[in-house]
Amino acid sequence: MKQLLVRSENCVGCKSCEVACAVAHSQSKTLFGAVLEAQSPRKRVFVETDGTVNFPLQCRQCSDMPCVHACMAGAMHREPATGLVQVNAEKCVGCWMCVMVCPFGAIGESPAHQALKCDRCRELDYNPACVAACPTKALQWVEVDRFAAAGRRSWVEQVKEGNSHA
Amino acid sequence: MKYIVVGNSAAGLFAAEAIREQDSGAEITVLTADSYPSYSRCLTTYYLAGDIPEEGLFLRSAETLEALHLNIRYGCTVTGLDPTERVILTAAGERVPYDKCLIATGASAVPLDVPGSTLPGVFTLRNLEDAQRIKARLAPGRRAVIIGGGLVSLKSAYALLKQGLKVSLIVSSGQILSQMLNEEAAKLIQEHLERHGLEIVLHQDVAEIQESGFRNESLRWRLSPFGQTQDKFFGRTEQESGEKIWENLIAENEIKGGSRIEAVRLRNGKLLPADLVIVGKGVRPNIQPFLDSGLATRQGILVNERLETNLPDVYAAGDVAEAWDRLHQTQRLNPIWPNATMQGRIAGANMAGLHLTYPGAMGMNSVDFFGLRTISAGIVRPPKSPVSENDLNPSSPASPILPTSPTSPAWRVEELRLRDAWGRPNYQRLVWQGELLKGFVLVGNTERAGILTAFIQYGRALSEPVRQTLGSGKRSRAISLKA
Repeated sequence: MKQLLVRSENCVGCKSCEVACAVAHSQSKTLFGAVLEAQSPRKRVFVETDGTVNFPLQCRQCSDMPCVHACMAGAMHREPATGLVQVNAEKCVGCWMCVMVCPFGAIGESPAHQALKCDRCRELDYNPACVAACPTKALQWVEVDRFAAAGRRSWVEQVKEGNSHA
Repeated sequence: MKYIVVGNSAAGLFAAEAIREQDSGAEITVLTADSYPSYSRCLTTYYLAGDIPEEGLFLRSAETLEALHLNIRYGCTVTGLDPTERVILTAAGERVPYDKCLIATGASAVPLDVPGSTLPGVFTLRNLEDAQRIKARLAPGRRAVIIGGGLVSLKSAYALLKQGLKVSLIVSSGQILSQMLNEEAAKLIQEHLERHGLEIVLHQDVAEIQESGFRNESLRWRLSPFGQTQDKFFGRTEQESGEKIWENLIAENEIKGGSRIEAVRLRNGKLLPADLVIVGKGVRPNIQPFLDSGLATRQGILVNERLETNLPDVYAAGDVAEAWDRLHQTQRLNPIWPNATMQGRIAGANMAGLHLTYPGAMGMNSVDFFGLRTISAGIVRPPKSPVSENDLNPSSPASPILPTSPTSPAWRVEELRLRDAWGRPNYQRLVWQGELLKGFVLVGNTERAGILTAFIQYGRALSEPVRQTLGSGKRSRAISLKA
């Protein structure tokens, strides 16, 4: 199963992912169309920075699912087909119990006053727009094994480089 | 393996789902006094407000429930448990055998003990049936009196305001939401609700709920010169007036569903007209059926870190259970939704053979009244508030007893008081014990709430930069624990 994973060292804080996210969740799915829509579309990824480290943060799909357990409407649920935690907009009443327990602060509010979070671009057939928009490949939609392998290669390369400078 | 789950609300449903996840072939029987599939009691006020239809209360779709293959027995009241024979006893006289049993019977609303509190028109709000009965009485312009200042009372008041009723809220203590909020935050919510038309009376109790003067008024009319003339005009005989009329009126009234309430009289003598009274005086665990089964109980059923009771193969979860509280460091009632679901899941998984440890409950809640959001978690009032003058107010409710020793670090409260461009409050209160975050209250901007909750649950010392970032109330989610 593919995961949305982050190489924070690659993130330059350009916020392309935030724009792409909002556009991907607009009616028109185009930037100009999105800007003109009556309800301006909302992003579900947040580029956070402490001045040195940048991090594009969105729902991390926690395995212990605190938001699902806190949801008193049965709206936040794990979809059996995909295994993803999603919001059922038909059930969400906007009580914000999920916001109360999300350890990443990754749940926002929709114009209809409902919980809003990264859905891994369900409408785009699970091809996250943020990943496509990221110019530095800080955001990746990959299998964990491939992500880890790339991490190992980059480590080996750093070691080689270190040795050649020694 | 025969699993019996008693109760089909939050803890019962999540437990049944967890058992099914572990054991696809298990025989799972759910015994419930309810007559509806699992629904959210927390949403009944949203239903009252007209925000959601009745169908919106149900937690799972019919297909999802079907797929769980549960044998759910509605309208089945459990009356006891026999641990030696390993059976559950029901009101119908059945003895239902179990290999593993979960008690998730929840809690019931505490009734009000004043004259008139059993009159029709006086409600508690706990069940869907309660909500249906209340909803049938809602009409714009009617007067409602809500007794109690807790979450159910406030959410009910909000729902009724949205339905156009005139609502008064009577609170014994000096603040609303005293379980959830400190006095300053409560005042912000109170002002906001008052601006939206809620009348809040603090430091006051109800002395009596008075019946409608309908009978008296009618009788007075019939016995007045106008009424007598009318009687003569319609040729009514002597027997039909006076006492006879009185009796007829009583009979007539009872056919129509009994008398109606008219007013609520407060201790100070003031009369508040009321067409409807909702009592929100808290809940107490439904442990009565199990009192002579040998189960260890205090206010609720005591459970260990695996959510087992003292009886073999009997577990308890949810509002009925006193489970470990991670902040108070003792077993304690914590009747809120997230604790019930989490306990249900862990109890269910353990019943099915896993060995999961319950990390502990903590108090927390979230409300949104007319767009003003409030979230609090953990300990909002330090045990001996050395900092905040609010807590020295003798009118505020007593703080819970917390484990303190002469060597434990001092408690400290850190507050931010801001207003946004429209003058709406933006308030943050952090409660620290040394370098540990123990609780918070956010009013207005609540988007950091989950991060603060996670830091409370983290339960370890936070470094100076992290404490500063949290205290500054900045939005940044990029807080490194190593910083």
